[in-house]
Amino acid sequence: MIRNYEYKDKLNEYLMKAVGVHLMVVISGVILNMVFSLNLFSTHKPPTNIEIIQSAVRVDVVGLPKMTLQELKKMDLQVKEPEAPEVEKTKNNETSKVEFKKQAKKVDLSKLLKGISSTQIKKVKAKKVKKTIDTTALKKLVLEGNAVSKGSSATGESIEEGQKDFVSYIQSLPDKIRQNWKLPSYLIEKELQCRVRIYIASNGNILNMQIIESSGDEEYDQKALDAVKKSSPLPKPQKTILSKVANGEVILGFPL
Amino acid sequence: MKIKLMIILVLFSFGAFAQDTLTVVAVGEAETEKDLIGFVKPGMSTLNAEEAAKINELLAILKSDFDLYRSLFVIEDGFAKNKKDSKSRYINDFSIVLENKQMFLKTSVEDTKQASILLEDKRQILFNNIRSFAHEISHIIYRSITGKESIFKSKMIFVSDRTSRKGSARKELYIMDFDGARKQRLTHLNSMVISPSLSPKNDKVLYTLIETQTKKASSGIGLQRVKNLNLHMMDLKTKRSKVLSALEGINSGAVFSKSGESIYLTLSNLKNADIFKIDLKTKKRRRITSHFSDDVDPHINADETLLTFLSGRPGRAMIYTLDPTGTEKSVKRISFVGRFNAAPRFNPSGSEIVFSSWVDNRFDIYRIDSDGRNLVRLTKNFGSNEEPWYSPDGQFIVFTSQRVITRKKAVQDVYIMDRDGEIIRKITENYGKIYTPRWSN
Repeated sequence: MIRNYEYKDKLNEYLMKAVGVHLMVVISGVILNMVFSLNLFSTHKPPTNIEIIQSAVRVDVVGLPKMTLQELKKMDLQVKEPEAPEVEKTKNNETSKVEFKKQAKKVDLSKLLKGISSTQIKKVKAKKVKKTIDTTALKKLVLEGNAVSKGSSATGESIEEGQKDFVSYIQSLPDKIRQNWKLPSYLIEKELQCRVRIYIASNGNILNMQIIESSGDEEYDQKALDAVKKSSPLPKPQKTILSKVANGEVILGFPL
Repeated sequence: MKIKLMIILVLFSFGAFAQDTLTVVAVGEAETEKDLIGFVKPGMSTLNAEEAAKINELLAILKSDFDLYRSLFVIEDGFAKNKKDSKSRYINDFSIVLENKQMFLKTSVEDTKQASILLEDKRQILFNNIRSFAHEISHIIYRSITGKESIFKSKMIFVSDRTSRKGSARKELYIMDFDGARKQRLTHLNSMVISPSLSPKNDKVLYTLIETQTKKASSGIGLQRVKNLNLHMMDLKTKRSKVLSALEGINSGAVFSKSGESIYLTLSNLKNADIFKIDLKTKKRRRITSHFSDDVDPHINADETLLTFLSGRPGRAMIYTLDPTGTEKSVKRISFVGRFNAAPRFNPSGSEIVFSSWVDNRFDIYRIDSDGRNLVRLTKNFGSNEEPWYSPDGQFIVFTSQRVITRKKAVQDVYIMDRDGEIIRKITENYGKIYTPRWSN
């Protein structure tokens, strides 16, 4: 019996040590991960697990367009914002903490742990929708006389039910941001590209943003950040997708 | 407890190393940001009143020229007294210097944002040809800023009926600056000139003339006078014309190839209208279309790999493209809508086609990619708009617009719009009804 107790004590001690070591390894891994995500040793490498969402359309041209390109340009491109989730003002201090800076927020362990728990939820991937005509072309084709329909299974893979709200929401963002996306002609001609990760609050305000893929031209990157900054607040996200948009799952491609 | 701890640990581990799924959404192409451009007035104390008036005219032309490129520039109000007064990004500073009894204009263009001088130029002022001189100055300024060629030295040819008399309709050929100034009559044929076209070097003009010819009567007895559409080519230096093609029927709608060594035109000597290519040196003809429907109005892209034309094949006039290296090779229908489409014209790069289409009892202008995608409307509620033609830089489209005044009277003038359909300005007024404006190359 005594032997048995001794054995159990040793096992307990061993288990506790194993748990302790494991915890240390995991915490160090998390800290290292956060440090690199802060771009302290920036390599401008984009996150590897990226899905690209673009509009898919099926176009049935049945008549000449009635609206001119100028009329379409002047159209209010803003989409209807989804209903805002109810937020208790006293508890929500997101608006007062709006920051516009290139780097990520400061790290503290409690936030970090929150991030980890929400990352688990994000494992459901958004299905990629194949593109037949780009969003600009869509705007051009949204014309009376031309029957334009959003593509579904006819032109792309179907989207899982849970992702529809998210995909629908992020597809509404370019219309808002494009209004402020302007470049001098000499930068347009360089045909550059950068990508900006954005963190969106429940009221649509942009909490934070960071360049995750630089164009290599500082002015171009700054113009992209300016476009996002000027577009705040964005459409209000639905409650169901709040964890995704607040945790920076949305990346804006300038232009792609 | 230990088991719980282990489970938490495992979950925690997964969470810690789980990879984020990030979703990229394309914002799209950026709009062009406009830059402020300003002009500094030169000191004119050394000039007499006439010379000062010419310099003021020059400055007004510079501003008018840059106003065309309003998608790129916003022009600063008035004229600055010196560079410090200007708030522009691009400051054009001028001074007049007298050397060996000759007046020179010194031009300096500064990019204040980049803190760099883009242009330093000095040239003799051509007081007796101030418009050309002004357009030349505009051109070098534009080129120094954008690195591209401007349209400021380009010209247009067109047909006007201003010499028509009661009971005698006449259409003659004219030439003018791109801004409508300095119109000059080219033909004195007292006849009907139609569908002109300039050579790549802008030194020759093709045009079709409606001429009366005598031929054997269809009954076989005697002669009869018939009208025929013959193709002529004019040398713009000598103003002399010669007949290029006078086959029976239509010899019309001719355009030069990019090299200028051959032409594409519509011929109907084989009864229905088809498109042919004629080598100007050998006079050899090659058939490009061969169809029982009429094919007319050819236009060729810059590298001669694609030809667009109008065809009645589907029962209504629709726009087609084909490979002009063969006959009926790779024929593709581009337009599928519209009651009647007309005058398809490539932009200089050949990436898009502009055309007019009959809708709501008038013509309006539309643009489509050369592969048939991205159809957009450019004009609406702006009279009846026809005969579009791209500027040499592809940024503008010239077209005619008709306004009905009374049941018997209508005016038809020339307008310029940008390639997105923003009307820039009207460039002709009271010069008869104007047809078929063609921008120089």
